[in-house]
Amino acid sequence: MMGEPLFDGVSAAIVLFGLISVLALRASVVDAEIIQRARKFDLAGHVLLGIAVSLLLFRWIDAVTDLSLEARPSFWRSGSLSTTCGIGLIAALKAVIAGTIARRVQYFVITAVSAVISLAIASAWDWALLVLAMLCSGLAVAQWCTTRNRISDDSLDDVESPREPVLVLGISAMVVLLLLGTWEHVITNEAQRKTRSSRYSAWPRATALRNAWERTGWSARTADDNSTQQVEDVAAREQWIALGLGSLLLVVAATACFRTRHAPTTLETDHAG
Amino acid sequence: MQAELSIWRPLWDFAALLFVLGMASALTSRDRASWWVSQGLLLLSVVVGFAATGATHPGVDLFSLGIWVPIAWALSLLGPFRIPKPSPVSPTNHDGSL
Repeated sequence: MMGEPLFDGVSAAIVLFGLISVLALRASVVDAEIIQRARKFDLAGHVLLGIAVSLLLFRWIDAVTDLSLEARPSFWRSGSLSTTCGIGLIAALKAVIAGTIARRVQYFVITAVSAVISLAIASAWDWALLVLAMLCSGLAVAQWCTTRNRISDDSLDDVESPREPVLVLGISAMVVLLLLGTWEHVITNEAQRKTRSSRYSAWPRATALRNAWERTGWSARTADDNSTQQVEDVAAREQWIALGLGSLLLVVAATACFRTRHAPTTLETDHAG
Repeated sequence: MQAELSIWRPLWDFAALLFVLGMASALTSRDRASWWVSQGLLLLSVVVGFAATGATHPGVDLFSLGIWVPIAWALSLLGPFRIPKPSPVSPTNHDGSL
């Protein structure tokens, strides 16, 4: 149906390089007492981050140059969109790995502003206004909560709070790859659908999970005349992958929860010497 | 549609990475402020992803993308359980009574 896939190897490389750069930058902060080692991790993290952003730009350039001259979008419009998205990606990475809470919030605001600008560049004004409205209301609520708790709560102190475990990052990447894979699968099989029912909506309902399970072809679609044996095999394999990843995610999350509850925090360790 | 997809492709990757980072941040957060930041990242990824989908695939409904939103949020709710509760300064009231 589509000449160009939404998700390909470059997407996977962008996600993986971004994740590895997060881990390296995180390690540089954690091992800050060993200066040489911290510098190496910091350098490696920024190099990998540069590779991820470069791949993002390559992806756009490759997609645009594949088009015919008449169909090519405006150079400045697409270039500014890619640049804004790149800034937003770096800010989002910093929002996760920054050492202090105040800096995480600052970088998140930069990410949200980048999203608003990129949506505006793409002429999606309604979505841009939606993000802007959510950002303003969120900042207002956060300011109100901070003011209310300022006297009794010192949660905005610049206390370094390491994040772990790193495996959860990898599992999260698998979740998004599964999401994109599912989406790709739906788009590929969209042409096979003969009817469109109004009961299918973008928004979850009480029967959302069952409907999605049926629509993505993960269940055995015996009643569908268009489904071939090959499609059913692929669907069955995807179903097992989804189940495996879901189980793995639950196990890792439960393990992380258990370990965190029983492990002393950094402050406790420091106080204990 | 090919041109539309080329224009919106950076936003697709932006939304995908925001989703990854939001999930990772939610599951590894050590304080409530960071957890709320992760919720913001997830929300941003949903809005940007839906906007990109609506532009590049107007004929495809967004259900399969939308079904992942409550699943992701349900998983991210594991984060607050990992956040240690602040220990009380004193087990007694200000007047010294228990």
